[in-house]
Amino acid sequence: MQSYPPTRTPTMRWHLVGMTCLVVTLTCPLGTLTAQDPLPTQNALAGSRVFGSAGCSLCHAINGLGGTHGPDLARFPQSRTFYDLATAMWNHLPGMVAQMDKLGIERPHLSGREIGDLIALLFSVGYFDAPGDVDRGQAIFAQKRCVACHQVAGTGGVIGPNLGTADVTPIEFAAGMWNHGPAMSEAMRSQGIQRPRFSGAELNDLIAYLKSTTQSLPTGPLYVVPGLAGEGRRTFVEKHCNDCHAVGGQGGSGAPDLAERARSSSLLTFAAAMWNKAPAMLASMQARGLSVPSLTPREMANLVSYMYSVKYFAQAGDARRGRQRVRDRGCLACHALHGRGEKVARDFAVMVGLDSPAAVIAALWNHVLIREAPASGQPAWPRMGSRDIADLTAFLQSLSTGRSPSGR
Amino acid sequence: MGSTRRQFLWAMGATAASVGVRWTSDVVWAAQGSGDPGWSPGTERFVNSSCLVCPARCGIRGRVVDDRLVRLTGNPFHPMSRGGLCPRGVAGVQLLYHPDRISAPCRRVGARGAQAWEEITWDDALGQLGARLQSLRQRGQPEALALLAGYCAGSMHDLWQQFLQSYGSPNYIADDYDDGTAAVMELMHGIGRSPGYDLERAGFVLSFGAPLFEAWWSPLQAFAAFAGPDGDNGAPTRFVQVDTRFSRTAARAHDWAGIRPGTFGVLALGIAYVLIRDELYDAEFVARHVSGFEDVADAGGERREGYRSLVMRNYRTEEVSAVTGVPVGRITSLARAFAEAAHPVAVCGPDVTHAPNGLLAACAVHSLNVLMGSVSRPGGVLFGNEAPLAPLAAPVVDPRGRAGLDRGPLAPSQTPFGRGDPAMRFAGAVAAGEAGAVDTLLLYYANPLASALRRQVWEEALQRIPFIVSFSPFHDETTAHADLILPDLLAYERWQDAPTPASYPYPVWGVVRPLVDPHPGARHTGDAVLAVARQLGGSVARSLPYESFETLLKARAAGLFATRRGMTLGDAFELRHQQQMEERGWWLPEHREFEAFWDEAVDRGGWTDPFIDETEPAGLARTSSGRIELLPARLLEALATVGEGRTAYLDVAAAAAGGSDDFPLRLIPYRVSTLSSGTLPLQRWLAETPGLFPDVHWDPWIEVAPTTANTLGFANDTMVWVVSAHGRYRARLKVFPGTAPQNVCAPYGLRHPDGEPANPLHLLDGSSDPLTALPNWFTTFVRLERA
Repeated sequence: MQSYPPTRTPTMRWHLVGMTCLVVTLTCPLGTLTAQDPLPTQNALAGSRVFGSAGCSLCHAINGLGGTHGPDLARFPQSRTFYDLATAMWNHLPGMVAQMDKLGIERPHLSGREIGDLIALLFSVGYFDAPGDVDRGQAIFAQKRCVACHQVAGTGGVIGPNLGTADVTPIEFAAGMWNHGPAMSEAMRSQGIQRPRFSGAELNDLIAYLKSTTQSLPTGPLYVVPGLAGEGRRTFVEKHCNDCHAVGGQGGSGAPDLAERARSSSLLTFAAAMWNKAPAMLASMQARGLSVPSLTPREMANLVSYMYSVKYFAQAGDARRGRQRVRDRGCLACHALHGRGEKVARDFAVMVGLDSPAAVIAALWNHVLIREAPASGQPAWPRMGSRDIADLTAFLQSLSTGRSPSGR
Repeated sequence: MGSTRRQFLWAMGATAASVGVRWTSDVVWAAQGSGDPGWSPGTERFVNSSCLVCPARCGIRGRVVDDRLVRLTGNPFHPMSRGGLCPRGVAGVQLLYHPDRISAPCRRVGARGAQAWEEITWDDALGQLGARLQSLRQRGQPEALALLAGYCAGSMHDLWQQFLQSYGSPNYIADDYDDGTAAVMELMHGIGRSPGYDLERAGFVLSFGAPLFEAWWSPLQAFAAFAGPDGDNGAPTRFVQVDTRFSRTAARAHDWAGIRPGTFGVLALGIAYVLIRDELYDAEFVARHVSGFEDVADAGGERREGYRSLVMRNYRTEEVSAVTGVPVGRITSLARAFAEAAHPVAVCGPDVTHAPNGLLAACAVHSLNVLMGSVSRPGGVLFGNEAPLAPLAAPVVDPRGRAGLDRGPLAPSQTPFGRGDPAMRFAGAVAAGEAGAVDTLLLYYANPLASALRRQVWEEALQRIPFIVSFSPFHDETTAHADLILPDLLAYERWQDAPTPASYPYPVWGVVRPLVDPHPGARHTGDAVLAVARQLGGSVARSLPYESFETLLKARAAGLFATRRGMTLGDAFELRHQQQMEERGWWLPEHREFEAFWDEAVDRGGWTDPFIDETEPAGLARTSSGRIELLPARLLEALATVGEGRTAYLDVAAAAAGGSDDFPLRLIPYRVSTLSSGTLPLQRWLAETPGLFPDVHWDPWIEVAPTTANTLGFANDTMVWVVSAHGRYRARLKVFPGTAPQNVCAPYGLRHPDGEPANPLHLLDGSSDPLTALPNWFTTFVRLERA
């Protein structure tokens, strides 16, 4: 059985993961990991393969792609963590199995890696904005007075660069907005133009409009890979963002803790927030004697990936509480623990292979479905909260690695 | 009473079966006694690859048991064919194990055509070829080497090109499937590739003679599109076939409109007339993206008529009906249905372009897409890109090679647009030119004596070429005239690549990989070419520094790995997810290392990019004006010089004249998906594939209208001679109400069981479109005589 280095508790490990670049792999699969990336794990692209090959797409859709028997999994509230998603899978398992029975679909057996990839896919769906609307973008270009300085399709001012001549990707656009923000603010002030505010959706529409006016053929790759959260964290430090902002309590206190505020924002939502808050940020930086950092598109992507990922494993489980959940959620009605309890199902203490959260979630997914209430009177299928699942995972992992939960 | 061949075959089959049962029974009973039958189940594996039987290049999956290929099915990961496979693809197994495969390199020892051969070693064979080519180059005549490449997929095409270029020969002769539509797109859009059709998302498909379910670029593309879920608006895709006969495609369509041959363009402009008259076209699209629609004044102030005026003046529905034979009401209803559909698209088939006004007619058909804005839009015409393969090594051309290239091709195209029929042009030049102009001819999947319109010209040409090398794995009519045969491996034994045709707009790079061990006496032609290049040394060897064709392919795949778009093939959800990601501007890499990418691409059957940016203006037009040209200036200039007095769109009404007393019936040759192949003599059972006539299998047939048969006094199944001023052949007459009374429809690709040719193309009059040089298929008239 595999085990982690004994000097790290599960909680510590997840803290480490959260602070480095594990979550990066949500949106950046193995292909972009560097040798320094500590763990492989969860690959959204591989998740799309699991979603199709395991038959999830027969019932569920993601952004409209797939079946309609179940809900579209991209249309849930955005703020979801790994354990939120795992909890949703657990709680809906009886209903899903019933529906699969009705449709004649066999429940797929999923490995830990497959579950990890699948959850990575579900988590990442909010990161990628849907294409914007060209007409709305054109209207925004006029209404927000971009046209006063920039030319597009032969119309507009010449103070700023012509925006109709270059390829536009979301990342390049976001980086350009940040880097040229101070100069643009100054130009607008001198022109008597009120600095506009943008939403992420408005930026998206603007990009769609600009792209539709570009006459030249793309000269290189049009797409860019999502950022690396690990790199983003380094950029966060190197660019002195942490002088003001903290993440998870670590960092400066002059500006909001981004882990507290972090939501599963898309790139352009993040870019819009940076644009809108730029005047205040710049003033604060000037007051502290800091220069405004310039960001390359790559750095911008990494930063957003980091922000996006902060939330993913923010909810580390507690093995001691997990032990309690095993008792009060009725697991011991069927399972034994160290030889004690019912013997219908396997003893938790002898289970093998639960060496990662994804493996634990896979075991929960592959769990035999209880169709009738056990004699103990516990509900047939206990509902769990995401905290419960996180704790349970920590507890089962601790058993699997051969060590007892702290405090025992 | 004598027995028929069928009865004989049945009797033979029954006998074989009974013998087999008897033998098997003995074995089983004997085995029971010993306790060990000496038999065990084989080891089974399934391997993805690509089909190379026709230009569709669908994905295949081979079931291999103990290194023997036992079955071919479709690769479900292939985005175009989606697990489907046509009968010809399935029948590939029989080619692999065919007893007539050439089992070793052969040298001719008798007279040409006498089929007397001596088997030699590969070293000897390649040595002979290399020495011949070396000598030719040393004599300063590299241009006297020519290649006739019939079916040359993917990187084999590039390899041959590079070989000839570095050697110094400009005589790469393509004998492939040009349908003339690339020239139309070049003129109107500035994009020189055949159009891709987004059939899957189309709401209304109006096909002008395109044999979508027969011998189109990819019938499986059509099957997959029409078998899929309803379109974006929830309604099923509606499909109307305009055709000169009631074809299998017409039978599958929701509706069929019969039309006189050579008048497709007229009908298209009649539909355009209604769209403009009733203001049903996409005026905003036309105003924003189209040039040539309205009248303009030229530099001298003279008014020049635009498309609108030309159509409104010349193509009133009554006049169009009189020319095409399509009723006025039908024209109007077609136009309205086309305009009212959510995503209409007009598909231009080869029957449109193989006509005296083919280019103009094809422009007319495509103008319907322009009027409705069905370009670079879902469900319309899309222009994809080639798969971004890494280029071959930079070609090196030494002075001797440069001199050969500078002398130019032996038979350059003389027409303004398109390539026309380069193989016939080449044969004509050799037959009529100086002796020695071509010293060595290489034949790569080309059999012009069976497929060319003028067999006699090719026979004369072959007689004048001193040294002919064929790479065919089977004997055929042209290989019989070769001096040396270097048998190729079949597609199930070799490495190659298989890009999908342009009709499928998304680039798909299919991998062809060995499913089983190669035939010991055959060799991959790509490897043979590389070996000859090494033998020649110098600039040729430096231009092709690849150990094998497999390494060449792998080197090219590095371009896909580096391009940062697309994916290795995957299931339907993966494809759509990737499409959605790229639409949103993102690309997720799958692999850290190229080797892992290559392994997965091979394992899954290839690579694809499922996204085309429909908002990209360059996907709409790359003309100098940046607009789609309805009256392209280059076309107008060409018409002024070689157009024989015609003006764009105006003379598409000039359908060919009627027949004479001697030859009263118009010949309509057509392709059948299972038959239009040079391999039919090897796979005779493909003739059993059910068609329109379930009772006709082994004999070539023609289709004649009941009234015509009655007038001529021929009953159904009469054997007749089909006679034109240029030749004749025998066929079984089938009375068929789906044929117009003035026509004789004749499938192309059949032969009699004894090998007697039955090729309707050999009867054609040899005329062509002066703008493209594409041969006219529907201007020949014939009579029928009792055989």
